Amino acid sequence: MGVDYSQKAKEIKHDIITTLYKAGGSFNGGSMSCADIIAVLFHGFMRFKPDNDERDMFFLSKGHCSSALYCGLVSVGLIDKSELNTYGKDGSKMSVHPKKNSYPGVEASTGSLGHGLALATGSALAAKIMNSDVHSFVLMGDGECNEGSVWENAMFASKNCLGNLTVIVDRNRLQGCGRDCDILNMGDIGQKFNTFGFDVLNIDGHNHAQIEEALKYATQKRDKPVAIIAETVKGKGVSFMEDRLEWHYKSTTKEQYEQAMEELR
Amino acid sequence: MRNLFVDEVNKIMRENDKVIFLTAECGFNVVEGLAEEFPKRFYNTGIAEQSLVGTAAGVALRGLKPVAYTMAMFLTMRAYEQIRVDVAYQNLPVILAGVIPGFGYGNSGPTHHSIEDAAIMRVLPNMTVVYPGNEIDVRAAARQAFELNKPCYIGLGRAPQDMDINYSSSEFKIGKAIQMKDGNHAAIFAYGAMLVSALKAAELLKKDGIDLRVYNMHTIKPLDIDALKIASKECGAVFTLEEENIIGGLGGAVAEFYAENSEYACKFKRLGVPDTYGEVTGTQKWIHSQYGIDAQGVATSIKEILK
Repeated sequence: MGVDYSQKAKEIKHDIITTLYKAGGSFNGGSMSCADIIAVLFHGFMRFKPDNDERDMFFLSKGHCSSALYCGLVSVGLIDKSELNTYGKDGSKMSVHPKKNSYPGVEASTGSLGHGLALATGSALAAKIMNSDVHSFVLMGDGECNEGSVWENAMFASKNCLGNLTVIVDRNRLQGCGRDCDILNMGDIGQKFNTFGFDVLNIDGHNHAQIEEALKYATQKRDKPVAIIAETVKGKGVSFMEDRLEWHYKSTTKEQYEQAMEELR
Repeated sequence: MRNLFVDEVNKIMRENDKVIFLTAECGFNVVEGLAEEFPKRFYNTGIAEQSLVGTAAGVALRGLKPVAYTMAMFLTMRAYEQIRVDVAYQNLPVILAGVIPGFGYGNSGPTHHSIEDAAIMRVLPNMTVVYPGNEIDVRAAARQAFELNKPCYIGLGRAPQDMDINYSSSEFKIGKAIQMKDGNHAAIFAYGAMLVSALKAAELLKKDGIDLRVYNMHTIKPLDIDALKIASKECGAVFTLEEENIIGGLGGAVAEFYAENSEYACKFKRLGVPDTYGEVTGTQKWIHSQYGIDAQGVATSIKEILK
């Protein structure tokens, strides 16, 4: 029987909003925009196997949205749910920007934007050198694609035919200071990856069937890396957050939290 | 010394199939043999230092042992944040091989000089910083860097033309200074290309009746505190000499130690680049003379302080 992705996604979104509310934390918007992707990827594709060298690796390059990563790992049973209460607290290992090996499934320390692709590429290259069939996934923000390091590395990944590498861009079109088109106008990010030698899929990043199809395609044996451009809505699932810039940083009040919980039931 | 380093890494690659060599378009006439012998373990990231270092870190996450090899100034300064976050913070066993630090690129000018790498690499937690001074050093350093299983920066200056090396490779230990010449009037800690200046300065000073002790301080982090204590007690005057800005490098490290440990306080001076970029161009040797870090300049400074 297949996994009920919508149920898993709902739980992850619920946990994200709750975790950030309790912590007085930021990044509700960007965490919610990638929650559906995390749900499908983690439940349908990732071979986590924490203590096994022969495992897939997931890199959350948009590390500020760690709540989505932590709640996804809770959802697959790699983190105890009570740990979410420690998010960002004094003495906690649950840092806002995740630290390598803090929990099983946190493969790298991320949060400085534009780094995740190279880490995933290196991981994929190593797997290829070792003739291992493990896969490397990296989830990036669209704003993050402003970083030149992304494109430096995209050239290298395609030149080396890293078919065991999948890039997912959370294309929510809002970055920290405004709409992406008003800042640098990233335009057709898929076309850019395509020009850099990737196979590109454009999908609705909240449609579980489309996410699943795309990941199936990406994880088949191939000789090119795949970039999945997932069109998303920042703050997806909570009406007052959806596509609103302020929810990049803002944290919820008690009333807002209660309303969000109502909407996510 | 890049040729010697690559030759030694090539040998190590024959012994250890986990070692991977990455370069960012650096190594013409140096790396071809290695690339040919190990096509699956040699990669050129193109002129893209951030990609070089980030990819090397990713390779290390899977348990392989990468060498990231490219020109020192671009490796350490273009990709500094990748070095900090991806390598140092994650404490990954990446060997960062910086080609020709200091003034080795001579008349290429300050864009191609690297007088800051010692300071900025030293300040990173988890990082070991080594500057081999000759063939024995570089071959031993390459091997020991892999054994560290931690981040390590190796600055690969030009090989010295004429240096009497009075020690064997078994005496080279990362973190341990090597006394290359005895003397009790003053001690100098030098590394890389500056070893030659220090040894020649010792010869010049001998004519003036000054016996200069010369240490090869090939490792500037971790610092060999024991050698600093002994030098201070036995010689009473200590000099550091580097082809780097006097701020923050070996001179800074040694100053920090003596300032905090007054029982070892002694006459002390940092010799190096006086916090400046050159206005005019010239050979490496000529640049040394301009900053007083050639043998004559070093001898003059030491005589001045000992007066």
